[in-house]
Amino acid sequence: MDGIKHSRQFAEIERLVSDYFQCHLAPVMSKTQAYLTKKQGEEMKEYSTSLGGILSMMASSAQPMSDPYQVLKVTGEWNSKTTEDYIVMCKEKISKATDIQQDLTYLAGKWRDSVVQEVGRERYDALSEQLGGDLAYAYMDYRVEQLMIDKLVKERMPKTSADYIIRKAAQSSLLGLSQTLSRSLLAEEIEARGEAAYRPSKLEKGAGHVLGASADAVMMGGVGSWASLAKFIGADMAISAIASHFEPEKPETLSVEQCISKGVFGSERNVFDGFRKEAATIQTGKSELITVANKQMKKKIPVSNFDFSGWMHSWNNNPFGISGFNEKERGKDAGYKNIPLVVAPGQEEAYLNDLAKMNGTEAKINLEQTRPEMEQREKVETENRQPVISPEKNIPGDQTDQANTNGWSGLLGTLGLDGMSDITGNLGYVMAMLPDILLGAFTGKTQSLRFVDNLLPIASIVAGMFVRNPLLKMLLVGLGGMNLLNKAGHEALQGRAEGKLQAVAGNDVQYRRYADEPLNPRIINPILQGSTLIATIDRVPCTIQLMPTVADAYRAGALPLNTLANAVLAKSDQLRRIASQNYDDGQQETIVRTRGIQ
Amino acid sequence: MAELDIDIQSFDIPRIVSVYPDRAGVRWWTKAWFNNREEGETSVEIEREQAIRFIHDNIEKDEWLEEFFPRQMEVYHNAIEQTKEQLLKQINI
Repeated sequence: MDGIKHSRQFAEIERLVSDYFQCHLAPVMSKTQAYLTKKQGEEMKEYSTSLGGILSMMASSAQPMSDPYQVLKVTGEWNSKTTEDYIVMCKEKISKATDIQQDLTYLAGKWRDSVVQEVGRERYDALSEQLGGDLAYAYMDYRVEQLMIDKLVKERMPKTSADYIIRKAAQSSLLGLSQTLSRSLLAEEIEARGEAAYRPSKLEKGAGHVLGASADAVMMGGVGSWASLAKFIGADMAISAIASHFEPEKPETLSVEQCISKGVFGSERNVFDGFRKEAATIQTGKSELITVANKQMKKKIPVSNFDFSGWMHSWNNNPFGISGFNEKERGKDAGYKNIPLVVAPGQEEAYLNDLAKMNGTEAKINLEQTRPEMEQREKVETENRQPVISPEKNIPGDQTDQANTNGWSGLLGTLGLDGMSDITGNLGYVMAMLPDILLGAFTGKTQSLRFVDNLLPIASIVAGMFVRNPLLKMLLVGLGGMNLLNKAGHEALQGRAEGKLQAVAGNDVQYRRYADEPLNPRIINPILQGSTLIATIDRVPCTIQLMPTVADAYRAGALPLNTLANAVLAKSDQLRRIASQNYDDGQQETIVRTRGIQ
Repeated sequence: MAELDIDIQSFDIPRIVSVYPDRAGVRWWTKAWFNNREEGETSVEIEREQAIRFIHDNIEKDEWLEEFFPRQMEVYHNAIEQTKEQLLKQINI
């Protein structure tokens, strides 16, 4: 990635930071919010029962638009808290948690090690010096802050507001590192200017993650700044970024990430996007860095070895772990498709041989023979272009003849429920066709539901109606009904199979292949669209209506357009010749008759 | 291909062209009628030799028209192309 030697390492750290935030920092934010809400509720409840509250409510009842808790929202300890206060509370909790502080420091250390490996200690120190503090701490601080903003944004707070509030509220670094650093006069001024420039009540220009003065001052305690770092690396844009707050027409911005991308990695674009994309694909369990870091950290993150995508892949191939489930595994040979699943993989040939011996014919020979026959048939040129239905085409229903047998088939067969899986597999279609089938039972169209052939199931249903034992009733009615449904369903499916066969027969046509000929110069620019050929023949533009089979042959690639156009011309000439001949014949007849009159 | 059944329909624009002399047979003109218009196009004076070539059928009709009625032939070609496109569109629908 852009010549970054340790991109994987950076991606792993990104993943680590992100996971750590989700596992340990986001819950702190959520807990703080829940605590705040609870306290506000309690306070509101207390206020409602207090004398002041009751009086306030009585007063506000006379004024419909007034808020009875107005006073509470100003004077209450919890209800007066703003989002800024909420952020301060979060920050306090994070700062107080020594284990989190240690973990964040450790993560920053890891990031520093990676940068040092990438650019060397000297360059790192130079960058840190320009920044006015440790680059790794500054980045980690920035990253955690961004994750907090993202979380607030996810919770439907406008991004720019979240950005503003966090930066305003978190006056000192989340890492607590810059607290020890003194704030310079320049930083104060920059901060004030940044604050003034933000103008949250007006349209927010250059908002977002800009390398703004306020952000600089907040994070670095004012000693150094991202701007000075940016200047050091040659990105003068950072300076103009500050000015851009005052000049809304020029929202020239440079994010901290871009700044680091250029300073550390020498890349003009934001390399962190790439790291994060890579981080999303990292399997935490397989990353050595994440595993080692997780052991070192006080608060652990869940590390999983489970590869969901790999599992999905294997699941798609073999959902139930049945060996030989996959067609590829079983071999693509069409000859194996009727082999039951119970035959072990690799034993298909032996099974076929046994089957052939049992049937008294060599199945293997049949398999080999069918192919040359098919090839020969394809080669045969059907002069009259009559549709040819390949006889090897299997009827869908026929495959069930050699269905996978199991222990239940005997019992189901006895009850007249053999092939029930076909019905359950096509239940939607069977149910849709049921009215048709039932109607057919009365008209005689449905062959399977004739009364004489279904005495037993009908008797079973009728008997079930008179039996009092509910279990027996259910069994008799159920089995009788299932039997009838099975028969009717098979008839419906058979009808569909026949319909499909006809459709297939219509499409599966083999055409004689014609060689491509040079186009006759009398024809210009032939185009075949649908069944219509448009061409200019003998300087006369004309449309020629062709038979659909001819157009099909053209589409199938059997009949080149030039050959077709030439044939059309020949046919046209032939027709013209016949017409001419007929004219001449008629002319002679007229002459003879004239003479006859004379 | 022997049983090819076709239905040919032309969508050509009728074009008639003729030549005629003056009473003395010295000056010759050619006149064309496009799209069955009665008034026809304005006559163009031609050489006697050209007229003879035309009468002897030594020149193609379209070639003649291209030479003496180029503007009308351009319109003719455009109309044919347009019709062809319309036909293709209709077939697609």
